[in-house]
Amino acid sequence: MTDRINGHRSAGLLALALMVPLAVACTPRVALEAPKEPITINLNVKIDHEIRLKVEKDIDDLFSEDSELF
Amino acid sequence: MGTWRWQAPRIRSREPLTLANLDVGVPVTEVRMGVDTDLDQWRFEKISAQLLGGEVRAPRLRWPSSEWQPVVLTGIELNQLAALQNEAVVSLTGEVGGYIPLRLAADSVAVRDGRLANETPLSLALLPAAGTQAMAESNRAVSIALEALNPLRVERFSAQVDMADDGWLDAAVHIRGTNPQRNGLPVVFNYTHKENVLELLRSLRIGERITDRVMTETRP
Repeated sequence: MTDRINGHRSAGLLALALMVPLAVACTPRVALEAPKEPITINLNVKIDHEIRLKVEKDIDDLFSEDSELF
Repeated sequence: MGTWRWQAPRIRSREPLTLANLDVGVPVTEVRMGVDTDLDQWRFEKISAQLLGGEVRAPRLRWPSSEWQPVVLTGIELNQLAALQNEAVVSLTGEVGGYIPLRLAADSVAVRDGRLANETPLSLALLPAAGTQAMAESNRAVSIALEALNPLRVERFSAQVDMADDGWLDAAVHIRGTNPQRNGLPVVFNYTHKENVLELLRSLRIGERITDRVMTETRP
């Protein structure tokens, strides 16, 4: 009877010993890795300047043809 | 009766000429150079100045001249460049430098094959701004691109700059970096920019010139 119990214990210990590495092997590993290929962004900008002026009549003469402003 | 012999005028600095402050739209300080001129052509030697936290140097510059004359830039701080924005759109840190070959004609300035590169790692971040927000909302692809760029750790920055006599600037910028908030997403950003710098300066100054003119004309 004792031998039987000991046999069961040994089998249990063996199963436990086998499960330890199995449990270690099953430890979830979550790794977030950056994509190896870069995202490429191309942006082309062309800026045209347009100057618009709105002036009152009194200072309109300042922008006359002989004005050196422009 | 004596005879007067005409001699061409010549002015030469014995000591380096220094200017504390030069306003060219961008603050240039501690300007130092030797000057030699016959009033037709001006020759400047050993030029140095402080610009945006860095330094500008040129061994010699002649004006007017049809030659391409190199100017070297070092340690230009991008945060000082970003501070010039009227509306803060982008936050920048780090230093760049390079060389800009100039042709100083009598009434124009041109740049040919200027090269700039980063001297330290750079960083770029987009700030909340109405213009950027409108761009992001207008197009999904633009929104994704802005998300990828914001923020960016820049390992490599290079730029090529050309400017024609008529003021048209042609710049091509290549940036390679990673986005720390997107799990180190590698990003390559190619940016080209065309703009007439002379028109830009004129549009920036027009308000001031109009105010000056109005004040002058209406002064009793």
